[in-house]
Amino acid sequence: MTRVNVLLLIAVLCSAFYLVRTQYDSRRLYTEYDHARSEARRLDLERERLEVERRYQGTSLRVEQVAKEQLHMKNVTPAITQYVLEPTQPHDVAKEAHPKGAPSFLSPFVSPPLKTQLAGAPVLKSESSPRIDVP
Amino acid sequence: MSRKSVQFTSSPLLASKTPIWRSQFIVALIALGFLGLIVRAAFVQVFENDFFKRQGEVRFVRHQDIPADRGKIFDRNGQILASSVAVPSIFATPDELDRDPVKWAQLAKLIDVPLQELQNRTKDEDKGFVWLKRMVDEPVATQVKGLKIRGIGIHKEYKRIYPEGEAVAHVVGYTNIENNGQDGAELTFNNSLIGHLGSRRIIKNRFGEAVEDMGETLAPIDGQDLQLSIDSKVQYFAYQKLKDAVLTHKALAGSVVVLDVNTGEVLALANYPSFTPNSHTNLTGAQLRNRAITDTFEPGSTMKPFVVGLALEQGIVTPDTIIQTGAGKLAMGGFTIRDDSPNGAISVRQVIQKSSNIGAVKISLQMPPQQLWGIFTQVGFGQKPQVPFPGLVGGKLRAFKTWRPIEQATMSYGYGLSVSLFQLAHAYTLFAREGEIIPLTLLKHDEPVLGVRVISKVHADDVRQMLHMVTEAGGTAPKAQTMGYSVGGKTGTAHKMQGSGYGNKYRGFFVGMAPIENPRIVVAVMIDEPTDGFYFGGDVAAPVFSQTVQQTLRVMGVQPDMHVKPQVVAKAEPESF
Repeated sequence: MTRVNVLLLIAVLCSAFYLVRTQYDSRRLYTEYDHARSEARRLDLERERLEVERRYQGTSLRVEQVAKEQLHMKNVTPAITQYVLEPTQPHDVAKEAHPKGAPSFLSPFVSPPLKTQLAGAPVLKSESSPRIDVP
Repeated sequence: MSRKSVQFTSSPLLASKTPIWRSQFIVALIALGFLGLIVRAAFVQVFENDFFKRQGEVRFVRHQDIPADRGKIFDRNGQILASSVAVPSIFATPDELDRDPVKWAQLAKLIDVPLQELQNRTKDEDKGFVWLKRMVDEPVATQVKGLKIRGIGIHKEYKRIYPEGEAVAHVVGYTNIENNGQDGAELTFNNSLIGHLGSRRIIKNRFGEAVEDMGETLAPIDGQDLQLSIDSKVQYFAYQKLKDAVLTHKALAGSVVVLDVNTGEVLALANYPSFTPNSHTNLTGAQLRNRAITDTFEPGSTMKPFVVGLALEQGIVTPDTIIQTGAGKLAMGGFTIRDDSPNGAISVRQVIQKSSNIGAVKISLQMPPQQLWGIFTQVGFGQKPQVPFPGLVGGKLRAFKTWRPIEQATMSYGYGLSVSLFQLAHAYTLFAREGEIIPLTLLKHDEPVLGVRVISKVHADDVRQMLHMVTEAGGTAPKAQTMGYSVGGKTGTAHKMQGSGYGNKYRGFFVGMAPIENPRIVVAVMIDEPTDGFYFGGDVAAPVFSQTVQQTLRVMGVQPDMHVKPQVVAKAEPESF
């Protein structure tokens, strides 16, 4: 009888310690989980901030400023645009890519799937090239 | 002496009999004690269990809100127009504040608030929490943290950021510091954008870390993102060209609206003056007003195509019918109706091309008021546009029964009724869509939209040809022409009401479409009170139209429909292999 009681006592104690241990683990893991979650949240917010930052660097206003002031680019007009039709069949490529009066330098290097191809645009302004007045 | 001879089980001290009631009394007392405990235990654990449980939790369980993100606003290509970012705000808890004067001087300098002001704000030690400065830059917050002043903390708040700035400010709107929409799409769609706070109940340890979740966690619901029909590129240069025109002509203000004819989407809607939505303080009403939809005006000559369209539909005239406009003056009911120059006998086409008031009056007076009212109503005048947006107005169109003949006459050239620029652009989809009027939307939609037929295709096409003539030599708006694309439209120049009459202040408009054979866009431009000597719609508004059409069609990938002499100046070098 005593032996059974001792065994039970030991079992109860083990169970109790195990419970304490589990509770401790559970809290420790929860804390870690919570940390990880707030870190995820922080990174998420950071990503959003960076996305906005990237957008800031790519707004039309900034692109236009950089293009005009630093790169000396000019606006594209239909006069300096070469429009290339999208080929319907592969053997038509060459024909389609050569509309009447198309500058010959374009011919071998036109990439067919493009719907429109810009020729020489944006044009770099240089001293020797005739000036185009963009309306 | 053996062990058995000693009696341990009896004692002479116990020989005397104790009264039995004493032990019974003790047992009864102990029993009573246990009973008391049982009752109390039952009381605590069964009857008043909730109360004690709650009281216990109040002492160690914390309630915590989980923030929800406000939805972002995108343009039609997925570019961010509005997004929330977390920014630090600095607060103090006055009751536990360290008031070291050296550190405080540094703090005041860092957050750019006078020291005196800081001291005043934190004077009251009963307060648990005061903001010192909301929404500071990240580096400032780091430096403040570096000062390590006890009682000063940093809390993350959400700030709305608008990368496109003033160009799209009126459409997107803005939010207040509590993140509630105040204007524009931010206000209209506030309910779907805001999302819902979540909450959880947790136990924290002495380091302030969450150690246990007590259940009842409510996940936050983030706000829904919103995709507008606006194209930020189209919007940007429409705004820039408008701004240039307003500044060049020293005008009071201006607006521009660009519509996609196939889908009914609003591609751009801009006004000048505008404001920077990132810091919306000290704003004036003039900056905040979304003129294109909230301001109504007398539309002037832009009404004439509707009168002619209706007359063609009713079989009253053909495009080649000759109308006698005489010497440019027509007396009627005590008023004189004038043309800008005498036109003599001109065809209906030329009435539109030359914008003859007398021609329009003579055509309109051949029709009953009810029919004119009918077409004005069908294209949306006098009614609030069915677009969810704050501040939309319907303009004024009186019931036809009250029209006097002189009013019918003036309405035919756009006086005596009022419309907004948005309504005007909408109405012109009638000609762009070959006689149909289409519903408009500010949300991305992309599907072709069904219209309601108002006039037949053939008559709408006739009017469109007339609109094209307006932009050709001999018309009122050759400046609306643009390289590579055929255009058509109608100028309008309206005297502004001043007091009880018309003064010498003007509004110039141009409403048109391109490419004229198969229109893809409708563009409406309004310039308010140009004061540099030019005030005709064909001079002030048509150039904005021209530039906007050029860029918009290029962005949309529309191939030019007119021959352009190539001006390629850069020679490509042969590729070397």
